Amino acid sequence: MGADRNGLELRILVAASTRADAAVSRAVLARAGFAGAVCTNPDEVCCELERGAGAVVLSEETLSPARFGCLADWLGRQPPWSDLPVVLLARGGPDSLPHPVGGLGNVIVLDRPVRIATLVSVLRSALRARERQYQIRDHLAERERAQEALRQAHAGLERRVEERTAELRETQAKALRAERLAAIGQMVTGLAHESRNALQRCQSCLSVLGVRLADRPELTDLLDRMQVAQDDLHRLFNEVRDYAAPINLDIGVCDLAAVWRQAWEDLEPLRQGRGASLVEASAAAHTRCLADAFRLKQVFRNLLENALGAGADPVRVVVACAAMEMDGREAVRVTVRDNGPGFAGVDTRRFFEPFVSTKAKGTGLGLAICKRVVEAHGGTIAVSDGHGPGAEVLVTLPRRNR
Amino acid sequence: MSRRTHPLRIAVADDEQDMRMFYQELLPPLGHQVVAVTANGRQLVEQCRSTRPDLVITDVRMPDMDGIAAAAAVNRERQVPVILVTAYHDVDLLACAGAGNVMAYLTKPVKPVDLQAAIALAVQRFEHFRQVSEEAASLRQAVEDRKVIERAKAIMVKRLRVDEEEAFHRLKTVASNGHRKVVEVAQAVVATNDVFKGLDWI
Repeated sequence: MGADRNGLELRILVAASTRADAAVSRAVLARAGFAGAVCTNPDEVCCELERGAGAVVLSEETLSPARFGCLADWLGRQPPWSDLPVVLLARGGPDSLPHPVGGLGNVIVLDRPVRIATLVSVLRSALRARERQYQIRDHLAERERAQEALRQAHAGLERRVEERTAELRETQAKALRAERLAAIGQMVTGLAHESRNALQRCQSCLSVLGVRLADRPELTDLLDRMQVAQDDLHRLFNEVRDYAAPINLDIGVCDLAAVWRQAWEDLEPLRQGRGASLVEASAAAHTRCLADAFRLKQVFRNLLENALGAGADPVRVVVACAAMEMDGREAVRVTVRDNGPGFAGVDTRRFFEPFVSTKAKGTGLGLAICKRVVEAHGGTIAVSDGHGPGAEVLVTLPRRNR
Repeated sequence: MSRRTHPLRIAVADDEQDMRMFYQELLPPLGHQVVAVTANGRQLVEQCRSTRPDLVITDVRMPDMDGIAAAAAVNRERQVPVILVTAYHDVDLLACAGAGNVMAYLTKPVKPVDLQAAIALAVQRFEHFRQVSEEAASLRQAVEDRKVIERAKAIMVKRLRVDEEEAFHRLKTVASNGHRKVVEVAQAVVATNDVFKGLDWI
């Protein structure tokens, strides 16, 4: 039961015209067990109505024009569920009333003199009706709340559908991109493969030409230059294939120091006749990790080759190795630093993208391949934005792959 | 161009005209003779039969019998070292190249220096391979001979009531007198014993 939530809603408001009437009314209400308020002043009734009432009892003499207006106004403003019972005590029946009482809505007119028992019985039935109205009010409120909840659930559902649709669209776009990249990768790998036959035909003709023109030494230079171009093209295709082909790591225990030393050894032809030194600054215990030594050698060779190509003699490359943590896992960081001009004034953001090169010569795939290999190991590669002179590249690898 | 391999008679196969010209003109300066120039595997097998080359250099992918099948066919008739030259990384194909005496593998584009190194390597490896095979064959023969001699000795110990040392000595004497090998005499003893089986001769 929702009725009488604050103890005021089932009150009977009585408008008494005299003190004596008021006293009698109070006594009657008390005896019948009604909660009530007896008002003697015209404004009081309207005030009390605002706080809550189960029924109103009026007599014709209390129905002055001012009070009638205020009451009619209040009754007219009732919410749809509310129909406040008004008991009107009239000496000559309904016809004796000074105002048309239809405007007061749910009016019960009792002829005076009224027997107390009759009045109590009428009031009881009025309160019961009022109680029923309160129930309807609560029911409506309940329904409103349920509807609101439903509306919110609906809105939430719509939002989720929208979110999911957006997610799906994003996933689809990603899949499409990945598919396209895979197709490009396949095409490039195929291209690099197919190019071998064409390269071989070129090479065959070039070699035969060399034999046939052996007695024309003035043409040797031209042939040599063609051979250099042919070798460059061959190398480019190899690197493109390397970059595009899937990386299958052959993981094993790997001493990084041994790997970069081997890479440095491999660059011997490039270092010949130059003043270049490799300086190691690391504790031996730090250089072991699980990795593909062959692939990492490729990474170091590219980095060291860049260092050799960057500066004038004497080139000094410092390789340092330190233990660190990466996403809560044990990792090892190798820093390769040279004494060349460094990256000052160079846009390093696109450094690791394919075909971005700062060198006049080179395919622009070296660092892109490095990035691919390092990322295949679950590691990262970055250029240091250190301020000192010289370029610095940081390679971070987890000690255990996955 | 350091140490030269001794002059070889070489058969080549490639479906590319340019590649055949390459072999024909570049192998002679390296000190070799091109005895057969073919465009597919079938031709290669046929020409190897008549020219009997010291070395075969063949492309892998060719129409009318690929290089690997041709290498195997050639080697069924006569043992010859083979160098495979291909434009592809045919790892799977190579797995079935065992029967063909493939001694080296080159990926196109191939330069004369690559060819020179591969030829040296292939010849060396094949020579080594042949030595090892011969050694194995002779060891196998020695084991077989030994078995026959042991059987002959056992027969003589039983029939002639002599000890093993005496039996072996007699075998050697008979062999030396008749200018025969010990194993031949031993075979005669075993054969005689088989013929006279059941006869109680002294």
